[in-house]
Amino acid sequence: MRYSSGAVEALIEEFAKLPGIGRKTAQRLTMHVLQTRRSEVEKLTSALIDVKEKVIRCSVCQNITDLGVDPCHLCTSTGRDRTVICVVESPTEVLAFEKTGHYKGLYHVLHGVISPLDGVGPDDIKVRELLVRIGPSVSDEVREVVLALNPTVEGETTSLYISKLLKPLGINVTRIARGIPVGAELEFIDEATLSRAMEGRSAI
Amino acid sequence: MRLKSIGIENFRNHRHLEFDPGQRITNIYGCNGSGKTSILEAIHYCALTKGFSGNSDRDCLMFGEEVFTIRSSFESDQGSETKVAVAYAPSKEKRILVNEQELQIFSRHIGLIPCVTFTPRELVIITGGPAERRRFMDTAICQYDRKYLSDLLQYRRVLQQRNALLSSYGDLAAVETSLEVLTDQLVTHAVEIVAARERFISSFSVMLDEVYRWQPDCAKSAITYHSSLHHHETQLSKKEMQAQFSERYRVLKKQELLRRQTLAGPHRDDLQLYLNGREIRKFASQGQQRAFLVAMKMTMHAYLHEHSDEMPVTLLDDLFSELDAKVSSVMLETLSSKGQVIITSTEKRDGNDITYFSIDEYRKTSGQER
Ligand SMILES: [Zn+2]
Repeated sequence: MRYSSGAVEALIEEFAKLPGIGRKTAQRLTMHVLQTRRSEVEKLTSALIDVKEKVIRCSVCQNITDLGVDPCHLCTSTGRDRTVICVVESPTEVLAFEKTGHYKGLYHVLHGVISPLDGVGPDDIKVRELLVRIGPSVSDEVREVVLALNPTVEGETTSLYISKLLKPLGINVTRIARGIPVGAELEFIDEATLSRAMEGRSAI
Repeated sequence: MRLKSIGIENFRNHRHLEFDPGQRITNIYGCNGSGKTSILEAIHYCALTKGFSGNSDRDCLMFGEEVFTIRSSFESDQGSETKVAVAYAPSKEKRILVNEQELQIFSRHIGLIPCVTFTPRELVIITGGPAERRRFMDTAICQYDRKYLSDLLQYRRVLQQRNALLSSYGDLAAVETSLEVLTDQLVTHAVEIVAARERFISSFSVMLDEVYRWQPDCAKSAITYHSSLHHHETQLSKKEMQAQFSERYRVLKKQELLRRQTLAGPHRDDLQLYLNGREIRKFASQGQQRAFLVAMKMTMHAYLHEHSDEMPVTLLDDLFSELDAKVSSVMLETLSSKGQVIITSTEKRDGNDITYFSIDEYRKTSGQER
């Protein structure tokens, strides 16, 4: 059913465009906004605008950062191991690694993976920016690049591509292990994952 | 594995139908167009997540309806129950639930319910193009080797990416490294696929020859696998294969860049089928070709029986109209001694220990006149 107000209808439609939001939820959110005080709504709109105006990409790691904070906190932090760079697809993964609290190296966000089907080549993602961080003229001495891309065909293409470029530079290129989630029972793991885990076994 | 019951709604020409097959042989009979084959197709959905040769989900939705559903219950050889439900609406994705748990990845379901089909249309395995024979091979291997299915799906994706690159590149120097990487990936999966196919065909061919012995002409049968990447008679290690395939792509590179597509790989492989040393597609009579297909299907049944934990469910569509009485009764006898067989025909078939299901009577008693 349609609402008698064009403005309400328009907001519902905008909400419904967001990922994971169906029309029902969009209606609920709209009703919520309608009943909220004006000052609260203004906070929301300015937060939305701020994201577009004040968020930039760090010129070093390409992760998102605030205007005026470039390079980002992670890149300038003195507490991080500057010899290791972990390469990920998107800012979400940086967050995931940071949550673990175990990784202390630097990051590099590619903002995508190589996929000729979608017209995305190596130059359309931040590969060149990664090479710049590693070249001979750079003071930071990067010794290891850890590839932490998703285990898709495209993630694999991108990993192999990067490793092909980096290996001649004498960089140690590694990738995170792909295998069995912690807490999972072996009998419930699918065969492809299990055989990959077997191939990637390590000495103890 | 054995189908205990199935209920279908808005599926092809069935608005609503419930069906409980027997332990051994079940004969579904009814006039042409009464929907016998559709019941087999519904069973096929539950076992292998899709319909028969080439029918799309949408093809199976009753005209003018919004959703079809299939609910089935299988019993394993050890007696435990597996419930499979399939629902499809064009506006949404197809959904499959196994024991009330929704499947996230359909390929994980393949192999749980081993299934062998025989339909008259499948004669194209003998007479048609290489794609038909690859499909035969892949359907068989996927049902007992899950790693194979995963390699196959990844290979296809890499192939799409590689072909996209070949068809769209402007400056070769700019894509050289990407092409190398995609070739490496292609080779990695190709090695696994070719090795699995070689293993399968070499033992399948031996079994086939044994199965074929009951045929009246007592002929010698053989199947050989022809890979577009190498022509070795001897078994190679995966490492040797890898080196050889890479070399083959190096040789093909110029041509691939010119023709702008991938010119070799498992997607171009074929099987050669021989009867008495002669290629059957070219030299055998239609009767011989049919008998050969029967033998292939029976071998597949025996092979799956040997390589999976469950006895396969066999679906035979309109077998009797295509085969002479002797061949079809041998087939029925052999298959039903090792698992459940569900068979369709226009006329009721005589025989021992057969459960009958008349579509016309079902419709009358359930009050659904056509
Ligand atoms: Zn940074």
